Amino acid sequence: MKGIFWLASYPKSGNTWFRAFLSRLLSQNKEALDINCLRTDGIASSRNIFDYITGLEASDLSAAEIDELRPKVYAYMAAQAPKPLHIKIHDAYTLLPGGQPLIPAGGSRGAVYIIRNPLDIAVSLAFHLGCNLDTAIAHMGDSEYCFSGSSRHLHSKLRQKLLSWSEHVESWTKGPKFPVKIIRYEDMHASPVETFTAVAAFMELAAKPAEIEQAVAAAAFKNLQQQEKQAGFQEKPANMAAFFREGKVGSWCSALTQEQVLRLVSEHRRVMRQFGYLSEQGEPVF
Amino acid sequence: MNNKQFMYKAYGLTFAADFCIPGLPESQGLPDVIIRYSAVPESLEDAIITAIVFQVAPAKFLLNVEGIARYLIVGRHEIIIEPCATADETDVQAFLLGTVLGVLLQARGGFVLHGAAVNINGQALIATGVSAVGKSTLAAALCRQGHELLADDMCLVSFDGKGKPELISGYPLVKLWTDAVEVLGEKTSLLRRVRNRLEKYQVPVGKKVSGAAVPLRWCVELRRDNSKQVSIAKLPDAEKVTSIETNAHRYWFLSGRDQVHQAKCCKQIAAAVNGFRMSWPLEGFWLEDMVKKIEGVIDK
Repeated sequence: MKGIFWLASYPKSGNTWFRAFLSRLLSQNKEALDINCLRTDGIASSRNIFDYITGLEASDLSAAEIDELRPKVYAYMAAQAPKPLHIKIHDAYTLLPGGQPLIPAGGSRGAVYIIRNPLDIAVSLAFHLGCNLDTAIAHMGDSEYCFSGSSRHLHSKLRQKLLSWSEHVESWTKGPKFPVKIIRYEDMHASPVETFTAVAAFMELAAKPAEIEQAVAAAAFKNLQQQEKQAGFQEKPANMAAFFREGKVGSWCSALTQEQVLRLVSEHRRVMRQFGYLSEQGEPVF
Repeated sequence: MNNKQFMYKAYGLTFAADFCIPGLPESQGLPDVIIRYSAVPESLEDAIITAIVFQVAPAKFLLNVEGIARYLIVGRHEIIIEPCATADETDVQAFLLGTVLGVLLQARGGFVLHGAAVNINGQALIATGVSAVGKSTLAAALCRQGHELLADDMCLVSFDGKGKPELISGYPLVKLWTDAVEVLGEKTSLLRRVRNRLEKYQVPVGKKVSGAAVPLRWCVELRRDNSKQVSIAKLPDAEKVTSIETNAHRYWFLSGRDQVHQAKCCKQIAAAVNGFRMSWPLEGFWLEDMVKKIEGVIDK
């Protein structure tokens, strides 16, 4: 069967780690994992893919015009590809002004949605953007927040509407009319083999337990970090010292002030509670 | 009825248009390509390829840009445009000088590189690379040094009698976004927009293009990465061919000449040019450094 599996997440939620695992699993010859040559099928916001398929230059179109064409591009890609595609996406699952989804049901086989504790995301996002923690926290609470959203500048990627963190999570966990497998970053850490095995089954990948274990080992954070130290990582943003920075659960404890924690919890309480990031008493779990 | 024809020269072709196309150099003589407003069908009955915004049929190409216009290329010599009633003329012309012109050049058998080219002392330098890497901005900065713009975005390459590549000049405008315009010290308020609602401008740079073919001497592939400063390195022969192949502007939906011919063109260009890769940081413009690096290698 063909079609697109979306590898979806809010930024800094473990998407690259997951793609590293998947890349190793998809590799026919099980050769060594190379973080600069992942075997998944690019990112949904790729300007080059859009230009190639439409024959237009996205740089001659407004962000709204591009968004109108994006569902058609993905449906076309899914129909033309000889195999299932695995495409990274940070866009929230949104509807266009006419009511049709940005990510079309036709052509989409499913999505893996990776969710991470927003307290840890705030720390990681601040490093990613080269901004302070308060700015990162403000972005995470902003319903209008976008990546590559400035109209004064030609971005290397298409505009991606992220919405707030809570809205992003709910958009993907409630919106699509195709199957969505939700996994938590924290479970990828605590029980990687079980978590990745479940995802591989969802994606209908015929992988033996030993192959899953090998892929998990190849995508271990230390391995990714070491590769970046040796050869760099082409997806690293300009302002960031290293993309694979800590890869830890709970780094917020030593990075966020109590005020910052309260703000994040206050803005995202309901969704944090729903996905197990807050206890019944309202205390952070991880 | 208005019978006035506007004559232009670009990419070695003479165009006769029903309407004014600002930015194209005026010309005279027998036209190679007629551009006119007329009715364009919504679809092609004998389409071989039907994709999202276009159809391809034998000797025909139909582009439908929603809310702007339908464009029909017939054979090698005719472009028919049916604008939408509400479309702005600037918007209609943006796609005419973009995809439609690109398809026409390829349909006529032209070899096109995706880049921006300047004439440096009678020889052409082309900056190639992916979208948003800074090709046009670098070309504009080089023109500030007194060099002549040859083409922006689509660079048509032909081969002389000895098989040496030549750059055929396009038209004397670069398309830049607001931040790049400001870095070059221009005022956006004085410039014509590429499209009515985009902050992307047509920037006239340097002298008018001469219209002549200029020997292609340098190919510089631009790359933005995590480097902390601008660097330039000569490409080994094998990488030079790959770089040219990667940056060939080729529409997948046009069969045109076969891949063997395309590969031959790439090899011919690679054999004749000095190839470089210039890396520059992801943040900021670094134009002064980039121009210095270019001048450093072309002097040698």
